[in-house]
Amino acid sequence: VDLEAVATALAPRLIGYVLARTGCRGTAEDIAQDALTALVRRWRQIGPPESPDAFAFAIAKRRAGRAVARRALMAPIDALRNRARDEPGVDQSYDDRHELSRVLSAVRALPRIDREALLLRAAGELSFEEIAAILHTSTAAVKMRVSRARRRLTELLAEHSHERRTQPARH
Amino acid sequence: MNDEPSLLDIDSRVRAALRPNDDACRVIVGRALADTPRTPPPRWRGPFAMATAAAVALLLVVAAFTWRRSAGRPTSPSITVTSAGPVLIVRTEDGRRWIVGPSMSHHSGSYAMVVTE
Repeated sequence: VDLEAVATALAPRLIGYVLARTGCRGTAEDIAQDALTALVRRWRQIGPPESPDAFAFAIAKRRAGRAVARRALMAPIDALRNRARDEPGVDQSYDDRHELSRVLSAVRALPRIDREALLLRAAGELSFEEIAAILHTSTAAVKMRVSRARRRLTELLAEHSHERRTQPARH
Repeated sequence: MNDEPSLLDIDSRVRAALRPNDDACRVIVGRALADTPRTPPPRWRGPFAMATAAAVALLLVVAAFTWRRSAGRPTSPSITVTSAGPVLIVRTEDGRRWIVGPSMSHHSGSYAMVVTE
């Protein structure tokens, strides 16, 4: 297995997963960088882990959790300092940003355990077994959570689209 | 648990919405791969750390033991003992005196203690 190929395949998935967790593209890139660096170091020192994906995502999951907690603590201070936290890239079109915000708000409405399983599956593209190992649960439980989250997310996004259609136009 | 295709589409939608731009990915991968492997810790570091920890623990135990002994034991006041013939005079710092002498009754052979201010 080629380290560079693994890292290249992992990078967008890690960023996407952490972006969904934190809602901040900069934080997502930093955490993805840390997780990949840890993987590269481990690989070079003692060889590839059994599952490089699970290894990197376990690190990303932990750090994303810490970043969310830190943000919750720092939010009042940042608000006082009037710091913009979630600036989208200038190259993103309006539609992209809008779709991202729609998906993120729907994902955040999911129960935490279901959300985590769904993100590792959808954004992380991990197998059910790998997700079960990261979440310290059984494969059957992961499958159930992912399925439940998919149904709920579909409903939420449909509701959101319906609201948008029925909203009166502003002039 | 098999989800129907429409539910699986939600994964694609989530993935598409979260997809980062390619430049960011390239930068991240490049930086991660450029990271030089950390030098392994020297072999002596482990035993040295253990010895240091043991020494610190021993020091703490000794310090605690010494402190407990000094705190638990009441300090005895300094006294001065002088003798004048068969009489002993004990003086403390605060001025109290104990005079210890032979009993007045000669046949008992015991001592009596007299306390004076």
